[in-house]
Amino acid sequence: MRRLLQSLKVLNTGIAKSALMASGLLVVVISIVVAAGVFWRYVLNDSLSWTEEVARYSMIWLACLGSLVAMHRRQHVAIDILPKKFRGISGRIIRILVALVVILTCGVMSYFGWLLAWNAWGQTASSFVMPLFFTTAAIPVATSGFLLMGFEQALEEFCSDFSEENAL
Amino acid sequence: MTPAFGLVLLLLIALGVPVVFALLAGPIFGFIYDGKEIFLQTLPRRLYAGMDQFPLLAIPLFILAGNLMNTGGITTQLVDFAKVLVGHLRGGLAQVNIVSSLLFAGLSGSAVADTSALGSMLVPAMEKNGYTKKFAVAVTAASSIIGPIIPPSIIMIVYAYVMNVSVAALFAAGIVPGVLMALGLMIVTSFLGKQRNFPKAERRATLKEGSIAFRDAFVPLMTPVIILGGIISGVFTPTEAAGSTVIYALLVGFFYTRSLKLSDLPSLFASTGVTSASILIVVGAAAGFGYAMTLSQLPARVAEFLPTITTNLFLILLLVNLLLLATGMFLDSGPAIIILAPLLGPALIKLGVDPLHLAAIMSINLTIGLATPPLGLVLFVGSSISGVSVATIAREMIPYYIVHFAVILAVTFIPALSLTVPRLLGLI
Repeated sequence: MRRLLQSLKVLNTGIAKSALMASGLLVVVISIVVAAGVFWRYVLNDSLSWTEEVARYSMIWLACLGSLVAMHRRQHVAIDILPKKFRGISGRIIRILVALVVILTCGVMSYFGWLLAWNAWGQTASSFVMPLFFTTAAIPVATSGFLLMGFEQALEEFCSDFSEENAL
Repeated sequence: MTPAFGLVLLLLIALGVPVVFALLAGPIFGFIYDGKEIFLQTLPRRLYAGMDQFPLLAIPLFILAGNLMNTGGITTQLVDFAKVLVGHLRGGLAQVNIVSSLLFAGLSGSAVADTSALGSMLVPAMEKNGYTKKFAVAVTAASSIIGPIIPPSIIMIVYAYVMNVSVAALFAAGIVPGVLMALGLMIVTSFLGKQRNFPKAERRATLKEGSIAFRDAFVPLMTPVIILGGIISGVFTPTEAAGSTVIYALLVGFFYTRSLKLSDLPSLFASTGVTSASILIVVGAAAGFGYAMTLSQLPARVAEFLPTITTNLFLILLLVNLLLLATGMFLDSGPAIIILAPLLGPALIKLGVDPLHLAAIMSINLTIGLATPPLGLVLFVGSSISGVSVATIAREMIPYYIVHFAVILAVTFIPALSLTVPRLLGLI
């Protein structure tokens, strides 16, 4: 089990690192594209048709990848009074329950998310030729990542439990 | 759908499940409980569609602009300008702190950015000047919540999107309450200053010093003019205004203050990305939650239930304020708006509350929650930059909380405070 946890940790850290870099790049893309839209529309009096769509799709990917980083850093907004207040076994049970809710939710979301993306293969964006699979896939990519991180958090609670008992 | 899904949601949030997952788990429970698993497939689509919105692009862009301004050294100029204005009063630096927050509020849309920018600069300066550290942090935290009340405001963009209100009108509605909040905090500070014998600057700034400070602060202070002028006159959409602000902040940081370095940019972009993502994903999940809310007819039930408590609108608004305040104490303002606005909004609007007035009440009230224990984000940031414990900061803030509550009550019971500016500008 420990070995599994270790490999999950390595995998998730890798995911979070790449997601962080991608989020930074997407912020750049969004800024440039929105600014270009403004420039063409107000200065050159000639609206670009694709800027709005590219900016929106980049934002969806930004939201999905950036929140993977937030999940890895455990920065998502949560009321963590209970998990922090209870020490020992009861705190551990609460934290495992929280991780289980994340796992179940993201399991459902991933399954139906991949279905959604798959079904969007035949549809294309309106201002340029790109299957919408590449935008809708952001949802299952994020929820699958959350799922992996949820497993890591649950396993971590289990494993640290054993080590503490061994220490006693 | 069974209204019990709302209870599941609350239970999960109380248990410590991150809000974004609770917002999805609630509806999943509801669909399975009702035996309507077929509807589960709508949730990823709602999550996607909830984020696929052009107006939401203003969120990452305004966050980026705020980060750029902050790193670009604009804070120094704003503080110098504030010193010229109010530095000579008793408790000068405390007053400077409040006025700087007011000026900074016009550039940034987040109270957390305000606390970290002004706090890391003014708290050490105030300490050197003879203030206690805990008081310095308390003033910073108390005044930082002016940030999301004065436009631009991330929380107002979220509200406008969730409840379909005009962002321009909501921005305009925040101006008077924001200034009122600053004035209130300044009055309390001057009382405290006399009582505790706070230091003040030895002399008033000369006209020459004043004009130099104004000249230096002029360029950064043009930002709110671009944002508000652009949005309110209808030239820019909020997203376009935010995009223009980013370019302006880059130009100012590189060529005017020259404090921004190319090497600063990668980490600024990355941190902007993560901060915005954790807001955007909750907004997306809220679309799934909103759908479940409509199916469960919870808002309609609330609308039936509220008038059975009392028909007195004042009393209802008072109760709503208490509920908001209690929620704001535990939950960040964005997620709190996302859950409460669609639940309470329809009922209150039916009872005759102006939608924009309600928007102002909710945004301001929940913003105050950012500075209250046990889970005020602003308090955490203040504590981490100063080392003073959250409880100590909160205790020191008690006189300022009174101002905060007074402003909420004033905004609630005097609709003109929030509605006059939007009306004058022809936005409603």
